[in-house]
Amino acid sequence: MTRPLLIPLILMALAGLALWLFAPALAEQAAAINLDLRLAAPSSDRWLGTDQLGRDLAARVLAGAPWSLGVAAGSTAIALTLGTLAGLAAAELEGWPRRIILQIVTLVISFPGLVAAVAAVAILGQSGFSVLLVLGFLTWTLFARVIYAEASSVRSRDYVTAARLGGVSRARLLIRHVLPAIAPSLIAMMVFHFADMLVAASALSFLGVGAPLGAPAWGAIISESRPYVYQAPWMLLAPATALAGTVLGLNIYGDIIAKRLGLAGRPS
Amino acid sequence: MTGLHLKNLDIHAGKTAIVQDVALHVPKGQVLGLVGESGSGKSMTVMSIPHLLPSGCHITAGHIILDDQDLTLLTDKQMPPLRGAKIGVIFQDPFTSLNPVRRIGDLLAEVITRHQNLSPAQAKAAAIAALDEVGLPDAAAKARAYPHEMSGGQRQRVGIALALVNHPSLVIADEPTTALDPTVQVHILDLIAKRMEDAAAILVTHDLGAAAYLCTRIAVMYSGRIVEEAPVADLVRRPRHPYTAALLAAAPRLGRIGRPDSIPGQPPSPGARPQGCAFAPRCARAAPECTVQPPFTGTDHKVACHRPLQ
Repeated sequence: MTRPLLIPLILMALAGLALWLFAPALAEQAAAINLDLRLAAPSSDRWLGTDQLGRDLAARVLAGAPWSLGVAAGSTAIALTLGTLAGLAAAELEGWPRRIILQIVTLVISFPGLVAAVAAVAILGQSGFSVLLVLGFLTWTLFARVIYAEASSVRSRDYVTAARLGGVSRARLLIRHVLPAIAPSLIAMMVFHFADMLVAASALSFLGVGAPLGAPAWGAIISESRPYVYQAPWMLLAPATALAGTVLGLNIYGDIIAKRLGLAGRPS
Repeated sequence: MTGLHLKNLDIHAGKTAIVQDVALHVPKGQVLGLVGESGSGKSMTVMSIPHLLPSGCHITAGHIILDDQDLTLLTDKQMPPLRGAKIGVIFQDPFTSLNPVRRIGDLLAEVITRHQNLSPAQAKAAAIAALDEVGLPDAAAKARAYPHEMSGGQRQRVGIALALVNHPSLVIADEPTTALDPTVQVHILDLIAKRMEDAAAILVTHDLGAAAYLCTRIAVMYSGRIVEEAPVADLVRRPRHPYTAALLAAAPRLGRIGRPDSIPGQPPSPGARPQGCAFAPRCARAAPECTVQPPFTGTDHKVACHRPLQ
């Protein structure tokens, strides 16, 4: 990756590190109830205002970031790993193993996502970890399909056949010869998927699924703000801006990566 | 019995016969030229040796015997260890047959360590030695280079090093000079001749000039069968099969005035081959008996034709 592409990644990593370092302090402040300051407007003291219990919204949005971003990162990692393995396997194996993998992919794609996610989290229990698992296992098929298609075409390139004729083993062939050729689309897809998972995790916590009660997940804060939209619009604006800004930023970043790597960009 | 023997090899794609009754013998240290038009089955024939036929195609009869081992009996697990070790393949296009994101030295080391028990440092040294042996100047620097930093001729030298680094007993060269500049072609042919040591080699080509330059014997394929096989000089000067004669007449040559003679018509598709000799519909010498498949006969100069020339 060239330097302009790397800078946002470094900034994101630094921001993540800072959030992690200040997490205990932030959590304490995010939970501090002050009923004298209910629904206070943004001020120099409380930058983003307070909620219906007088809790500092800036602290809550920041404290909620690790949960929302963590769930998105975790589910993206699961989807990426499963999808890559399944896609590569389907491309390399011919006959019935390929048909079985592709049938499983079709089956999982046919699940109604939101309903399946709500049901699965209800079974697994209210926690970020179960949301992460459920989202990962419901969306790996998107990676599997793209990787299967790309690997199938890369696999028939001369240099892969040449390596095969050199006696290189199938696993090594896939990892050292096929995967590097797919890496650009994989990286771009990963960024877009991360943004989608952030939206999905927030949608679930808005519905009260996943985030433990009272936890400052972005979707949960948005949900809490509903009765106060006219009275205290900042209560909606703070988490909504954080969510929309992050998703927009990730999509722009993904488009830049895709353009740099010579790909078509985000499929709409 | 050393070298390579193909015995009555049949290859089918589904129910369609692609290659029929191919018999060849390549002794150690000799180069056999396999010539024919595109679609004549020459690539299919050689790719069946390392079990790399396109999906759907299978060897349905016959044997491939390399140094007393019947390769047709090997399973999918037993074959890969032989690829690159006993069988080396030189590719047609050096621009597409080297992975663009891997260093030359790594590509070689990968094939070396697959078949020889060497430490990474030893493999690296062996890779540099292999590059040196194919005549690349400053081999140590070339080992660190990526394919795009090299010229076509240099890349084909790397391709030859890759195919020969484990001293295979069979070398298959699939049109190794077609993608190269004419000035480089002779160097590459010389290098193949010099580096293949005592391996048996098959040169697949439609360049009769290259075949005549490098080979001991030439086999001509037409529509999935071998129609003529003879020592180079004999085949070029006294072709006996009308197809071989037509092929020789169709080759453009410097110093000849006028247009080369093209062969009228087209080879039949594998599913629609005529009864008997497949060349008969395009053959000026065709006779009623040509509707029966002619036997492949002769001792040193073999031909499959009812009415051969001379």
